[in-house]
Amino acid sequence: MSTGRSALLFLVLVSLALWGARRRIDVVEVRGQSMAPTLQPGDRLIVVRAPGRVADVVLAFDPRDPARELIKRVTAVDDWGVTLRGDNSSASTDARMFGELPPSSVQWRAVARYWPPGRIGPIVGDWGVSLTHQPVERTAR
Amino acid sequence: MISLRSILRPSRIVDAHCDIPCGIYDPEQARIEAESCLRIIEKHDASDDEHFRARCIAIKEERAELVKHHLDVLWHDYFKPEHLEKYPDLHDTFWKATKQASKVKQSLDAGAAKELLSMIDTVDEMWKATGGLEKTRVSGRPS
Repeated sequence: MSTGRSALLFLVLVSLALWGARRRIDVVEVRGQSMAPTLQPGDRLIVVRAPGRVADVVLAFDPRDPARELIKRVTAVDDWGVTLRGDNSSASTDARMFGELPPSSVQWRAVARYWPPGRIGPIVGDWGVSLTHQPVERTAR
Repeated sequence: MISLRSILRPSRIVDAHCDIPCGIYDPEQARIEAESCLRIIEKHDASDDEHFRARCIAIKEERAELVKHHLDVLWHDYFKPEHLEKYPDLHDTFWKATKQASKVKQSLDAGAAKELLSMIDTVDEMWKATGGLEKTRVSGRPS
Protein backbone atom coordinates (compact mmCIF):
# COMPACT_ATOMS: atom_id res chain seq x y z
CA MET A 1 0.00 0.00 0.00
CA SER A 2 1.38 3.45 -0.89
CA THR A 3 2.20 5.96 1.80
CA GLY A 4 -0.50 8.31 0.48
CA ARG A 5 -3.20 5.68 0.67
CA SER A 6 -2.01 4.55 4.08
CA ALA A 7 -2.14 8.12 5.37
CA LEU A 8 -5.62 8.62 3.94
CA LEU A 9 -6.91 5.39 5.43
CA PHE A 10 -5.32 6.35 8.71
CA LEU A 11 -7.10 9.71 8.77
CA VAL A 12 -10.42 8.10 7.88
CA LEU A 13 -10.01 5.61 10.69
CA VAL A 14 -9.05 8.30 13.18
CA SER A 15 -12.14 10.30 12.22
CA LEU A 16 -14.25 7.21 12.68
CA ALA A 17 -12.68 6.64 16.05
CA LEU A 18 -13.49 10.22 17.13
CA TRP A 19 -17.02 9.90 15.85
CA GLY A 20 -17.63 6.66 17.61
CA ALA A 21 -16.20 7.88 20.90
CA ARG A 22 -15.44 4.35 21.88
CA ARG A 23 -19.00 3.26 22.42
CA ARG A 24 -19.40 1.67 19.08
CA ILE A 25 -15.77 1.69 18.10
CA ASP A 26 -12.64 0.92 20.06
CA VAL A 27 -8.99 0.02 19.70
CA VAL A 28 -7.33 -3.10 21.06
CA GLU A 29 -3.93 -4.76 21.03
CA VAL A 30 -3.37 -8.38 20.02
CA ARG A 31 -1.46 -10.83 22.17
CA GLY A 32 -0.60 -14.37 21.11
CA GLN A 33 0.00 -16.30 17.90
CA SER A 34 -3.25 -18.14 17.26
CA MET A 35 -4.40 -15.73 14.56
CA ALA A 36 -1.12 -15.76 12.62
CA PRO A 37 -0.40 -14.94 9.87
CA THR A 38 -3.44 -12.62 9.73
CA LEU A 39 -2.67 -11.02 13.10
CA GLN A 40 0.65 -10.84 14.89
CA PRO A 41 1.30 -10.13 18.57
CA GLY A 42 1.45 -6.36 19.11
CA ASP A 43 -0.89 -5.54 16.22
CA ARG A 44 -3.32 -2.77 17.09
CA LEU A 45 -6.80 -3.01 15.70
CA ILE A 46 -9.94 -0.96 15.27
CA VAL A 47 -12.95 -2.92 16.48
CA VAL A 48 -16.60 -1.99 16.04
CA ARG A 49 -19.60 -3.09 18.02
CA ALA A 50 -21.34 -5.51 15.66
CA PRO A 51 -22.39 -9.14 15.64
CA GLY A 52 -19.98 -11.68 14.14
CA ARG A 53 -20.69 -13.07 10.70
CA VAL A 54 -18.92 -15.99 9.06
CA ALA A 55 -15.32 -15.04 8.13
CA ASP A 56 -15.24 -12.05 10.51
CA VAL A 57 -12.48 -11.68 13.06
CA VAL A 58 -14.26 -11.04 16.35
CA LEU A 59 -13.75 -10.59 20.08
CA ALA A 60 -15.41 -12.87 22.62
CA PHE A 61 -14.86 -13.70 26.24
CA ASP A 62 -13.24 -17.06 26.89
CA PRO A 63 -16.06 -19.24 28.25
CA ARG A 64 -13.53 -21.01 30.46
CA ASP A 65 -12.05 -17.79 31.84
CA PRO A 66 -14.23 -14.69 31.38
CA ALA A 67 -11.31 -12.47 32.40
CA ARG A 68 -9.69 -13.29 29.07
CA GLU A 69 -11.04 -11.67 25.94
CA LEU A 70 -10.26 -13.75 22.88
CA ILE A 71 -9.77 -12.73 19.29
CA LYS A 72 -10.68 -15.45 16.76
CA ARG A 73 -12.35 -15.94 13.42
CA VAL A 74 -15.98 -16.96 12.96
CA THR A 75 -16.04 -20.13 10.86
CA ALA A 76 -19.72 -20.96 11.28
CA VAL A 77 -22.92 -19.46 12.64
CA ASP A 78 -25.88 -21.77 13.07
CA ASP A 79 -28.57 -22.84 15.51
CA TRP A 80 -25.91 -24.15 17.84
CA GLY A 81 -24.17 -20.81 18.14
CA VAL A 82 -21.04 -19.18 16.82
CA THR A 83 -17.99 -21.32 16.04
CA LEU A 84 -14.67 -19.54 16.60
CA ARG A 85 -11.35 -20.79 15.26
CA GLY A 86 -7.81 -19.41 15.17
CA ASP A 87 -6.31 -18.98 11.70
CA ASN A 88 -3.17 -20.66 13.03
CA SER A 89 -4.98 -23.91 13.64
CA SER A 90 -2.12 -25.84 15.20
CA ALA A 91 -1.49 -23.12 17.78
CA SER A 92 -4.98 -22.12 18.75
CA THR A 93 -7.36 -23.01 21.55
CA ASP A 94 -10.82 -22.42 20.15
CA ALA A 95 -14.19 -24.03 19.42
CA ARG A 96 -12.48 -27.41 19.16
CA MET A 97 -11.84 -27.07 22.88
CA PHE A 98 -14.76 -25.00 24.20
CA GLY A 99 -17.49 -25.55 21.59
CA GLU A 100 -19.84 -22.98 20.12
CA LEU A 101 -20.57 -19.74 21.93
CA PRO A 102 -23.96 -18.06 22.21
CA PRO A 103 -24.27 -15.30 19.57
CA SER A 104 -24.68 -12.71 22.34
CA SER A 105 -21.11 -13.34 23.48
CA VAL A 106 -19.74 -11.93 20.22
CA GLN A 107 -20.20 -8.15 20.29
CA TRP A 108 -17.09 -6.73 18.68
CA ARG A 109 -15.78 -7.19 15.18
CA ALA A 110 -12.22 -6.30 14.08
CA VAL A 111 -12.26 -4.16 10.95
CA ALA A 112 -8.80 -2.69 10.46
CA ARG A 113 -5.24 -2.59 11.73
CA TYR A 114 -3.62 0.80 12.38
CA TRP A 115 -0.35 -0.43 13.87
CA PRO A 116 2.36 -1.31 12.86
CA PRO A 117 2.47 1.37 10.13
CA GLY A 118 3.77 -1.09 7.56
CA ARG A 119 0.66 -3.22 7.81
CA ILE A 120 -2.12 -0.65 8.05
CA GLY A 121 -5.22 -1.91 6.35
CA PRO A 122 -8.47 -3.81 6.60
CA ILE A 123 -8.49 -7.17 8.38
CA VAL A 124 -8.31 -9.89 5.80
CA GLY A 125 -6.13 -12.94 5.67
CA ASP A 126 -5.91 -16.53 4.59
CA TRP A 127 -9.28 -17.23 6.11
CA GLY A 128 -10.27 -19.28 3.07
CA VAL A 129 -8.22 -22.06 4.58
CA SER A 130 -9.81 -21.71 7.99
CA LEU A 131 -13.31 -21.76 6.62
CA THR A 132 -12.83 -25.24 5.23
CA HIS A 133 -12.88 -26.48 8.80
CA GLN A 134 -16.12 -28.17 9.61
CA PRO A 135 -18.03 -26.88 12.61
CA VAL A 136 -17.02 -28.76 15.71
CA GLU A 137 -18.56 -32.13 16.31
CA ARG A 138 -21.91 -31.86 18.01
CA THR A 139 -23.03 -33.63 21.09
CA ALA A 140 -26.62 -33.89 22.17
CA ARG A 141 -27.71 -31.38 24.74
CA MET B 1 -9.66 17.99 23.90
CA ILE B 2 -9.11 14.37 23.10
CA SER B 3 -5.54 13.81 21.99
CA LEU B 4 -4.66 11.59 19.04
CA ARG B 5 -2.43 9.67 21.38
CA SER B 6 -5.27 8.80 23.71
CA ILE B 7 -7.47 7.73 20.80
CA LEU B 8 -4.81 5.37 19.50
CA ARG B 9 -3.95 3.85 22.84
CA PRO B 10 -5.50 0.36 22.99
CA SER B 11 -8.22 0.10 25.58
CA ARG B 12 -7.43 -3.53 26.27
CA ILE B 13 -5.47 -6.60 25.27
CA VAL B 14 -7.28 -9.27 23.26
CA ASP B 15 -5.91 -12.76 23.25
CA ALA B 16 -5.14 -14.82 20.12
CA HIS B 17 -4.86 -17.53 22.68
CA CYS B 18 -3.49 -21.06 22.61
CA ASP B 19 -3.32 -23.36 25.61
CA ILE B 20 -0.53 -25.45 24.16
CA PRO B 21 1.22 -24.24 21.02
CA CYS B 22 3.17 -27.40 20.25
CA GLY B 23 4.45 -26.55 16.78
CA ILE B 24 6.32 -29.83 16.33
CA TYR B 25 6.24 -31.19 12.77
CA ASP B 26 8.36 -33.66 10.83
CA PRO B 27 7.64 -35.59 7.59
CA GLU B 28 9.63 -38.39 9.20
CA GLN B 29 6.46 -39.31 11.08
CA ALA B 30 4.70 -40.03 7.77
CA ARG B 31 7.78 -41.76 6.38
CA ILE B 32 8.05 -44.24 9.24
CA GLU B 33 4.43 -45.30 8.70
CA ALA B 34 5.03 -45.56 4.95
CA GLU B 35 8.13 -47.68 5.52
CA SER B 36 5.96 -49.96 7.67
CA CYS B 37 3.57 -50.33 4.72
CA LEU B 38 6.38 -51.34 2.38
CA ARG B 39 7.88 -53.86 4.81
CA ILE B 40 4.47 -55.33 5.62
CA ILE B 41 3.75 -55.84 1.91
CA GLU B 42 7.08 -57.68 1.59
CA LYS B 43 6.29 -59.85 4.64
CA HIS B 44 2.83 -60.53 3.27
CA ASP B 45 4.25 -61.68 -0.07
CA ALA B 46 6.82 -63.93 1.63
CA SER B 47 4.30 -65.74 3.78
CA ASP B 48 2.05 -68.74 3.11
CA ASP B 49 0.14 -68.35 6.36
CA GLU B 50 -3.34 -67.21 5.49
CA HIS B 51 -3.95 -65.70 8.93
CA PHE B 52 -0.64 -63.86 8.94
CA ARG B 53 -1.40 -62.46 5.50
CA ALA B 54 -4.80 -61.24 6.69
CA ARG B 55 -3.16 -59.52 9.63
CA CYS B 56 -0.62 -57.91 7.30
CA ILE B 57 -3.41 -56.40 5.23
CA ALA B 58 -5.22 -55.06 8.29
CA ILE B 59 -2.08 -53.51 9.77
CA LYS B 60 -0.95 -52.07 6.43
CA GLU B 61 -4.29 -50.31 5.99
CA GLU B 62 -4.02 -48.85 9.46
CA ARG B 63 -0.48 -47.58 8.79
CA ALA B 64 -1.44 -46.12 5.41
CA GLU B 65 -4.24 -44.21 7.12
CA LEU B 66 -1.66 -42.79 9.56
CA VAL B 67 0.48 -41.68 6.61
CA LYS B 68 -2.49 -39.70 5.32
CA HIS B 69 -3.10 -38.21 8.74
CA HIS B 70 0.51 -37.08 9.22
CA LEU B 71 0.68 -35.62 5.71
CA ASP B 72 -2.59 -33.77 6.31
CA VAL B 73 -1.28 -32.24 9.54
CA LEU B 74 1.86 -31.01 7.75
CA TRP B 75 -0.21 -29.69 4.90
CA HIS B 76 -2.71 -27.59 6.81
CA ASP B 77 -0.81 -26.83 9.98
CA TYR B 78 2.89 -26.55 9.14
CA PHE B 79 2.84 -25.09 5.62
CA LYS B 80 1.81 -21.45 5.37
CA PRO B 81 0.86 -19.17 2.46
CA GLU B 82 4.43 -17.84 2.21
CA HIS B 83 5.64 -21.41 1.62
CA LEU B 84 3.13 -21.74 -1.20
CA GLU B 85 4.74 -18.74 -2.86
CA LYS B 86 8.07 -20.54 -2.75
CA TYR B 87 6.57 -23.87 -3.84
CA PRO B 88 3.61 -23.23 -6.15
CA ASP B 89 3.20 -27.01 -6.57
CA LEU B 90 2.85 -27.54 -2.80
CA HIS B 91 -0.88 -28.34 -2.90
CA ASP B 92 -0.42 -30.64 -5.86
CA THR B 93 2.44 -32.46 -4.13
CA PHE B 94 0.31 -33.11 -1.04
CA TRP B 95 -2.73 -34.07 -3.05
CA LYS B 96 -0.76 -36.63 -5.02
CA ALA B 97 1.08 -37.95 -1.96
CA THR B 98 -2.13 -38.48 0.02
CA LYS B 99 -3.74 -40.10 -3.02
CA GLN B 100 -0.71 -42.37 -3.25
CA ALA B 101 -1.19 -43.27 0.42
CA SER B 102 -4.76 -44.27 -0.43
CA LYS B 103 -3.40 -46.45 -3.22
CA VAL B 104 -1.03 -48.14 -0.77
CA LYS B 105 -3.94 -48.65 1.60
CA GLN B 106 -5.98 -50.35 -1.12
CA SER B 107 -3.33 -52.49 -2.78
CA LEU B 108 -0.46 -54.87 -2.06
CA ASP B 109 1.80 -53.22 -4.60
CA ALA B 110 5.32 -52.77 -3.21
CA GLY B 111 6.07 -50.40 -6.09
CA ALA B 112 3.24 -48.12 -4.95
CA ALA B 113 4.68 -48.08 -1.44
CA LYS B 114 8.14 -47.16 -2.78
CA GLU B 115 6.59 -44.39 -4.84
CA LEU B 116 4.89 -43.11 -1.68
CA LEU B 117 8.26 -42.99 0.10
CA SER B 118 9.76 -40.89 -2.65
CA MET B 119 6.76 -38.51 -2.52
CA ILE B 120 7.19 -38.11 1.23
CA ASP B 121 10.86 -37.34 0.56
CA THR B 122 9.75 -34.51 -1.72
CA VAL B 123 7.64 -33.14 1.14
CA ASP B 124 10.65 -33.58 3.42
CA GLU B 125 12.79 -31.46 1.08
CA MET B 126 10.20 -28.67 1.17
CA TRP B 127 9.98 -28.93 4.96
CA LYS B 128 13.77 -28.67 5.29
CA ALA B 129 14.05 -25.86 2.74
CA THR B 130 11.49 -23.81 4.70
CA GLY B 131 13.48 -24.21 7.91
CA GLY B 132 11.32 -26.98 9.37
CA LEU B 133 14.28 -28.87 10.77
CA GLU B 134 15.41 -25.90 12.86
CA LYS B 135 11.99 -24.45 13.65
CA THR B 136 9.73 -27.41 14.28
CA ARG B 137 11.90 -29.96 16.04
CA VAL B 138 13.42 -29.62 19.48
CA SER B 139 17.13 -28.89 18.83
CA GLY B 140 16.70 -30.04 15.23
CA ARG B 141 16.00 -33.60 14.18
CA PRO B 142 17.95 -36.13 16.25
CA SER B 143 20.53 -37.84 14.08
